[in-house]
Amino acid sequence: MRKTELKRTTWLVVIIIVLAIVIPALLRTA
Amino acid sequence: MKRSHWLIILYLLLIIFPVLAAALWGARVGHTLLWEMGRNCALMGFLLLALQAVLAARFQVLERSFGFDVLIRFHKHMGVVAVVLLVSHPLLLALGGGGVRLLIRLGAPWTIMVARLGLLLLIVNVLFSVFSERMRLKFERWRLMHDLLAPAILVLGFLHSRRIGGDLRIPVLRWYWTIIFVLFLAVFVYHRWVRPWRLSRRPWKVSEVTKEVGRVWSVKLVPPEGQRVFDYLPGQFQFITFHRGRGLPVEEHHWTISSSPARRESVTSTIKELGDFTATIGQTKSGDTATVHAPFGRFSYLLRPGEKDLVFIAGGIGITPLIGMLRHMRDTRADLSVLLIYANRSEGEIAFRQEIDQMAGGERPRLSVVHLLSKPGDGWSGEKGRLDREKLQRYCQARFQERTFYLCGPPPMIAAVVSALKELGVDDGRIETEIFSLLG
Repeated sequence: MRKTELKRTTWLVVIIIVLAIVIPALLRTA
Repeated sequence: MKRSHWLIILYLLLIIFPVLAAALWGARVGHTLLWEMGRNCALMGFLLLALQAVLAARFQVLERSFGFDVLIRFHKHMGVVAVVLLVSHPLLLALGGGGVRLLIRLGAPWTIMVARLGLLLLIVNVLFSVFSERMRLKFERWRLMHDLLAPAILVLGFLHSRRIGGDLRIPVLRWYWTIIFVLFLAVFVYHRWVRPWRLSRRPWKVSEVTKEVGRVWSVKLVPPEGQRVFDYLPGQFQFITFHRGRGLPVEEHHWTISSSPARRESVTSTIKELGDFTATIGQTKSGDTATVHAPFGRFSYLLRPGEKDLVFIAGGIGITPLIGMLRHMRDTRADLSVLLIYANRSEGEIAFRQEIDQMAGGERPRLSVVHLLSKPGDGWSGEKGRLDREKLQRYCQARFQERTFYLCGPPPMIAAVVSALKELGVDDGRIETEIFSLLG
């Protein structure tokens, strides 16, 4: 994996983590 | 899909699974949105921390898919993300109904106190890791601290979460949590104690120590009897722990392999006296023993077999992976064109000069060399100054699109050259750099 891919992967992981924090929380409080 | 993609998906699933399981099977007890988000932050923050051990444990399956330098960078990034999540956890719980008391109450039960202590240790650990170079923290000291704090943080987090984590009452999650925690402990113990102990039982021997130039030394190692040199790619690096006695320090460091894998009887690392430990490298003697863990790194021309026109750019001791690659090309009579731009401060600091200049006359590879000095003496008639856009343009003869660039040297130089190459229109995918520091 190249360094540019690392940057992309890191951001992808961060975005998925944020979504995984928010969406299940919304589902549980709906 | 590549194996690296599957591994990233597995990593994400391991982190996300508890949150999804809690959303599906957890009790709905009327908490606020912020409270639920706070709880999710804790679940994922803890898992990120537990998986940090796997990222840093030098497993070959991960190494081959990503490269050690990339894994360590990712490990650092995820450490910061975990801190953000675990700091957000109490804040969101407080904002989501727990109140400020949750954060500042002094007489809190032990289950809260262990979490506060764990969080404090985590913040300290990450700050020291991110700013270690600026703090001029010695690598060994940092690593000792990291090795003590990481398991302590996980144990405190585990105690806290298992005791009061509402979602961990779901049986599948309770099991999952325990398995992940045990996995972390097993990986940590294996990486820090079991593997080093196993490697130390079959030590390598120093067979030759050669002064290359100034403060640069080459140390040749031969494997223990009955064992052959590991398979490696030119340009890769190895972790070495020298056991030299005589009161000399015993520390594990990583150094590039400067020898060619085409010659299988020994393996050589070329090391510059730069820090407290490497200042003693010249005192290494033939007959000393060493523990070797290798190979690592994805900085090798063999990983891009289709490329025939290469540009190697080295700054000082950054020549080591590139000389390993050049030696391999020479030994295998590789049909390649290579332009080597080798930057040093002064003429006396040019390592492997004779060997490189000899190679430059050969046919396979077709090597041309440009020596560049930033502080040349009076008698120097070669190229002077820093490697800038104008010099790159002149020496690469505008053939930027067909060439692949391999850069290794001091980080400021690499950053400047990468930015100049991009300005000249070189595609990012054609620039290979080695991120070599475990700190900073």
